[in-house]
Amino acid sequence: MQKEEPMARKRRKISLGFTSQQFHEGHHIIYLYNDDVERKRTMARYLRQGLSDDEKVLYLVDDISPDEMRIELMALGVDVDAKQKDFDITRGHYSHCPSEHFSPDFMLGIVGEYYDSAIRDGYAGARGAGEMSWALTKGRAAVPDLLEYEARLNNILQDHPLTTVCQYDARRFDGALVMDMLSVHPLMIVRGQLVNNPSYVEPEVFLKEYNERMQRL
Amino acid sequence: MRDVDATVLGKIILLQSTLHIMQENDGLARFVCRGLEDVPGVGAVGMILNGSFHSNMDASGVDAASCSLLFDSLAWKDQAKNQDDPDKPLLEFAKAHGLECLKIETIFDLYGLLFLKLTDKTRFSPYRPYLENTLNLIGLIVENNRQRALLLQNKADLEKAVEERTRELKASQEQLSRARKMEAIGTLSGGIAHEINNILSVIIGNSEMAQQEVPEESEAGRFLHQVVAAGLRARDVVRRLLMFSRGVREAKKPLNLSPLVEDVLQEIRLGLPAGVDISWSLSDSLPYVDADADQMRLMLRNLCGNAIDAMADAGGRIEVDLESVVLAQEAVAFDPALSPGEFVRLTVRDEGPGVLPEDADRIFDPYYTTKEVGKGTGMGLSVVYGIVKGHCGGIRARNRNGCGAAFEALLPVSDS
Repeated sequence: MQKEEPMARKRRKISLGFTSQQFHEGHHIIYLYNDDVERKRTMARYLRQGLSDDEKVLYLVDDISPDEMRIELMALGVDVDAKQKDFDITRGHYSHCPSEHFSPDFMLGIVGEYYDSAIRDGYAGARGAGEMSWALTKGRAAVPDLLEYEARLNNILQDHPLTTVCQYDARRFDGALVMDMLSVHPLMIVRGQLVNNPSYVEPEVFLKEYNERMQRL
Repeated sequence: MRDVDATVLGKIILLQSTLHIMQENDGLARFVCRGLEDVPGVGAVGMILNGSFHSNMDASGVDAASCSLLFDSLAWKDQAKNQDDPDKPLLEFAKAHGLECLKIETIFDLYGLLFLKLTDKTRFSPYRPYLENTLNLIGLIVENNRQRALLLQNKADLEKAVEERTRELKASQEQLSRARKMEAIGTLSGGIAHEINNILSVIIGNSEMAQQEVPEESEAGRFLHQVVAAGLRARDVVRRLLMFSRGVREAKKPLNLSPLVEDVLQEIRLGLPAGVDISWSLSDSLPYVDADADQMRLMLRNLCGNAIDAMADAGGRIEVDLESVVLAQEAVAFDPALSPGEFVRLTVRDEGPGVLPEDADRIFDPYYTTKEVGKGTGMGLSVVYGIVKGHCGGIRARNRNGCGAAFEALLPVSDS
C-alpha cells in the first residue's frame, strides 16, 4: 500500500452512526450525559460505524474495565472480536501519560500520532471516544490542564482529523466546569442528536479569557 | 427582536436544552451562572436554588445567608406576613444591593432566585424575556424532579408495604396450615385413643377378674400382674393423647392462677436437679380465667419439665412470669384462632440450647422429641398444647435473644 502523507489528505465526509447527517472527519464533539444506557447505545453506534467504514477506532474507557466494556459493546452489536486489529480499547487519557498524571502536550502528541499511524497502516481514517470521569480522581489532572487540552485539541484535529467524542457525566462534573467544557467543543450531542455549539469559542480566545478569569480569582 | 445578538440567543437556547441533564441544585446553579455571564449587560450572576447557593458577585452583599433569608421570606412559610405585597422583600433586596432579582417558580412553589448585577441595563433589556423563560424552565425541571422523586418514593413505599403484607400473609397461611394439621392430628389421635381406651378397659377389667381366680404367687398370677401393669401404662398413654386431642372433659371454673402457679413452682423447686435454679414473678392482681385447675398444674409441670430437660447438661435458670396483657391483632397473629383482647400470659424461659428452626414447626406434635432415645415421651409439649387449646388460648415457642427458649401460653380472661 502506498504511504500517504496525512497533511496532504483531503477531509472525508463520514457518518457518525447515531445521526443520518454526514460530517467532515476530525470533529471535536462533547457528549454531556446523565443516562449511561443512552450514552452506551449512542457510543456503540458511533464505534460500529467507524469499524464498518474502515477506520481505526480508539476507545478510552474509565467507569469500568476495558474487558467489561468490550463485553458491553459486543452486547450492543459492536463486533470487537472480529475487528480486534482495528479496535483499541484502553484505560483513560491519564494512563497514557508519564506517571499517569495528565499532560496536555503529551496527550496531544498521542492523538496526532494515533491518527497518522492509522493512515500509514492503510485505514481510511480514525475516530476515538473517551470517558472523562477519570479527571475527577484527585491527582490525575489539573482542571486548567484539562481545559487547555480540550481547547488545543481543536487545532491538532485540523492537521490530524481524528474524529473525537469526549464524554462528560453531568451528574459528576461541576456545573461551571461543564459550561467551560462546552466552550471548547464546536459540536455537542444533546439527547442523541448532534448540534452545533453556539457557546464554542476559538481555542486561543478561550484560553486567554480563561487565564484572565483565573488571575482575577 | 431589536438589538438581540443571534449568537447570544443561540447560547441561551443551548443552555435551555442542556438544563435537564445537569445535576439538580448546586450543579445546575453553577452551570446557569456561568452560562449567563456572557449575556450582554450582565456583570455578575448569583443563584439560590433549592437551598444551594452560587454566586460570583464579590462585595455586593449577596451571600448565602442573606439570600437564604430573602428566599425564606418569599417562600410559603412567610407568605402570611407578606399578604399585601408578596414581592416586597424581593424589591427591597434588589434596591438595597443594586441588583435585578428574578424568581424561579412554578404555580406550585418557589424554588429559587436569580440575582444579576447589571453593567448596562439597556443592552440587557432585550434578553430579559429569554432569561425569564430559562428560569421558568428551571422551575419546571426542579418541579419535575421533585414529582419524580415523590413518585419513586411512593413506589418504594408501596413495594415495601406489599412485600410486608405478602410476608404476613405467608406467615399467617403457614400458621393456619399448622393449626389445621394439629387439629387433624388431634382428631385422629383422639378417635384412636377412645377406641383403645374401650379395649383397654376390657383387658384391664378381665385381667383383674382373672387375678381373683388364680393365686397371686402362681406363674399365671405373675403374668396377669404384668398384663394389668402394662394395661395401666397404656391407659396413661391414652390419657395423654386424649389430653392433647382435648378428649378429656375439663372442669373449668373462674380461677386466679397466681396461687396455683406458686404452689406448683414451690413443689418443682424441691425436686430441681443440681445446677438448675428457678425464679418467678407473679402478678398480684390477675384477672380470672376460666380454667381446669388440674390441667393448669399439669401444663405448668410439663413446661417446667421441658425447661429442666433442656438444661440437663449445662444447668441454668428457669424464669416463670405470670401477667395480665392486652394484645392487639399483630401480637396474636401467630395463632389464627386467637382474637385480640385481654389475656393472662404464662411465660416459661430457660437457658438451654433454644429451639432449632427445623424443630419450630413440629415442637408441639405428639411423639416429636428432640431428646435422646429413651428420654422423654414426646408428649409433654403436646399435652400443653392440648390444654391451652382446650382453654381457647394460644401457645408459641420463641428463642430468647441471649440463649434459650421461651414458651408463652395465652389464656383468655374470663367473661364472668
